[in-house]
Amino acid sequence: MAKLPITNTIRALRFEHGEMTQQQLAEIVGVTRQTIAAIEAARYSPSLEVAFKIAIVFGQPLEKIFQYNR
Amino acid sequence: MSYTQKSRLLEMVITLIVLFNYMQSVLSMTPQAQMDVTLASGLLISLAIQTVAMLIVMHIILAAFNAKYANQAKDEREQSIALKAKSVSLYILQIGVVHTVFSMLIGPQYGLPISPLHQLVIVALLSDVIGKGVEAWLLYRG
Repeated sequence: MAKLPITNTIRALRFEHGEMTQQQLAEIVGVTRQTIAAIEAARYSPSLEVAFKIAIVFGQPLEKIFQYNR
Repeated sequence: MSYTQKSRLLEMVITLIVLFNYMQSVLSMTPQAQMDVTLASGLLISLAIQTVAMLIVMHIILAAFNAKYANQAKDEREQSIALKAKSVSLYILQIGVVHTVFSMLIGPQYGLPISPLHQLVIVALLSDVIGKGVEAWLLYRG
């Protein structure tokens, strides 16, 4: 599947936060582990709600986590 | 493999089994028997009972082995995938309905040995199988 123009740093941030697993992040955000995996691989763009929840988990502004590559 | 993916795959297998059973029963009937209302309604009732019974058993077994995820609602990605799969399924159903109407208009000259009522049921089951297959595939692909 083609990658979307929105990339992210979730994988790096997870490791910076005590090697958090995809499952742990998924449970906090309220999605499945497969959805977190798809977001990390830039195969799925999350809704604003999920994006904000991820940003809150890592304590970072949204633009530090998600980047739009034209 | 996620719980939703497992459940879609198993639902697809169950619908396939029901479809083959139904097609076998219909194809073993004579054209006159296919038009018989009592026989057709009996076949439809047995189809509904078969489907419901197998789905209940499947969900009980699946939930027993995946108790943690059994009551979890679909997340946003799974919902969007379900919508895409549903649109494919509806497209197949539309083609099937148009095909059935076409075969009714042409009449007995048309080569298909299945009455329009049974054609509609088969198309509905087939569209369901394809929809579930597409959903399972999209869930797998990410």
